[in-house]
Amino acid sequence: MSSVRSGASVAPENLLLHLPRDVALNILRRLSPIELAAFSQLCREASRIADDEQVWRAAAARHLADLSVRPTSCASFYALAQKLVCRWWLLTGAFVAGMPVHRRRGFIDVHARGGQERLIHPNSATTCYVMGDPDPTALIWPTPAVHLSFFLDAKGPFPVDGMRARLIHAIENPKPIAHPSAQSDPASTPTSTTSNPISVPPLSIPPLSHITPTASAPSPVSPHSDMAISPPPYLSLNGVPAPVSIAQQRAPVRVTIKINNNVILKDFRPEAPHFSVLDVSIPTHLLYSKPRANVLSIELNKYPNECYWLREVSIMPSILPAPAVDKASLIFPRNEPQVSTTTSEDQPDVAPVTWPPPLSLRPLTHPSPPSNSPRARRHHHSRQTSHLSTTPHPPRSPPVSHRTRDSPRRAPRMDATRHKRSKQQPFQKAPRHMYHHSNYRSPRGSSHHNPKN
Amino acid sequence: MADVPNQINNITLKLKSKDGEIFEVEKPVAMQINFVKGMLEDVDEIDGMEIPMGEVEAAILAKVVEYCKFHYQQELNQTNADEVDRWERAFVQVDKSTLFQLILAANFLDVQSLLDLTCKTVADMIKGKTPEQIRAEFDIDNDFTPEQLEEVRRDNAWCAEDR
Repeated sequence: MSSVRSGASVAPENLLLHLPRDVALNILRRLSPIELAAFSQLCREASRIADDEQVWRAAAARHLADLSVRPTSCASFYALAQKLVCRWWLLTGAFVAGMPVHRRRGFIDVHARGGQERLIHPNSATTCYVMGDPDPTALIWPTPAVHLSFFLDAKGPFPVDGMRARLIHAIENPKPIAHPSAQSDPASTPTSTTSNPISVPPLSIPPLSHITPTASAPSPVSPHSDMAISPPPYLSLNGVPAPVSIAQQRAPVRVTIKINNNVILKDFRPEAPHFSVLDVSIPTHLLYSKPRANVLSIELNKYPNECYWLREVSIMPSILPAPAVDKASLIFPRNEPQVSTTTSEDQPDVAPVTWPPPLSLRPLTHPSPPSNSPRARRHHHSRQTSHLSTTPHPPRSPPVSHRTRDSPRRAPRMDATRHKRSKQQPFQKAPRHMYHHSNYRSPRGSSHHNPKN
Repeated sequence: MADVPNQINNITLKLKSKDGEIFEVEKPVAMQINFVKGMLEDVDEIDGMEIPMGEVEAAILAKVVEYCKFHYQQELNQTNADEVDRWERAFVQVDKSTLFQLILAANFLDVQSLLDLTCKTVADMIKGKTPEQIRAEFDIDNDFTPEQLEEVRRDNAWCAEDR
């Protein structure tokens, strides 16, 4: 290479691959992402040369800049970008509306459909609709945390100048939850669905008092959902309420947001009672580029005296302008479709014509469940069973009246395999790490949630 | 190409190619080559100075000098951009071997505008082509094993579907 450095007239047939690195990058920086990808397929050396993050960033930034000055090209660019620009893959732990929300170890552990990697559009976010299931217990509360893991590809052309997470949330129930041990406390009046219904307008979230344990034997499977439901952590397995301190019952919701276990927002107090939007900036230095390395955690304080209703979690690159939020569109009357998603295997990858699409313009209808597609259903169920909690579930409230069995908004139902598997596990034989707060263990191995500690 | 107009300052430099050929150029033209400019910073008497141009061959050095002369003249005459663009397109209409040698020479002699021009030319030769077409264009052997090629294709499937 010394002869090359001194300007020698080295003329191998494939001199393109023997250029000094800075010269090669000078060439590659002029290529589009699709051309870069083609170049990387030439040979091993070309693949090595093209494996440069700066080159990919430059390509993406230039294309995005071109887009900004030529809005008429939005549609075509978007169609292309769906396939090439964004290499943000949503992996295990992601949320997709309508997907079963598996609760394990007290966590809402949501899995992307079929565990498939999902291409994230450049002008949309990794939007996760936690309330995809009509079950009101899909509320984050009292489950302490939601984890969203995502993959930031270092080769991705997105300029990784940080990311932004957007949470759309609300506090819906300022009343304390009924608890026998706290009835003497005037601030913790027992909740009854008949005498003291919880008013949750404008959302159509049923009262939460139905989750108060009863003496009846718990049904191993929810009658109207294929979700694996665990009781709140303050309930014991046999239905006897566990003691909850008055301080715990009076505690308002406070949210801690972490990225890769680094706290980026601590003890945030969400606005109540209506929807509010929280944009959190995620610094680049906290992001990893290895697959599945990045985990966004939304954690609540223990036993908050409020219902924290997390509607969406979106993750988007900082280079994108934050989509406008039409709060009016987030508040919908009762018996109206609640939650939707832009992601569905059944939805074609149609390029929108707006850039970026405002959040309010995203479809608010629930996606077609995977069951609409036999292939999707098979794939979905096959993956779903691998994530199943094998423990039975306590009785749940009847389905929301406005949701019919054939409602397209209904979350995918469990297949026979799952029913069978659930029935094979007696309720009393649930693993110790399930459900009970005293047995709660963080998936990170920490046992700090254990009140005995 | 028109000759560089006579200058009051008639200092000339001798640029010596790898094969010993001497190119006499006026100082303002040679000073566009940052390699030369750096060598002359601490030299008082430069008139007629002979400067070795490393491994750059005469044919390539001639092209570099031609490029520098044109741009010196263009600065003097304020040539319009279209004409400059037309001249540059014609300038890089050379075979690939010459083009790559021009790239190496521009990189070694630190003529940034020439380097950008030649790199852009190579990039234009890559644009819009499939990997197979690029291999044929630059005579590159595919040394991927079938498994590696499959992996690379799978890795790039996200951009291949819409092609």
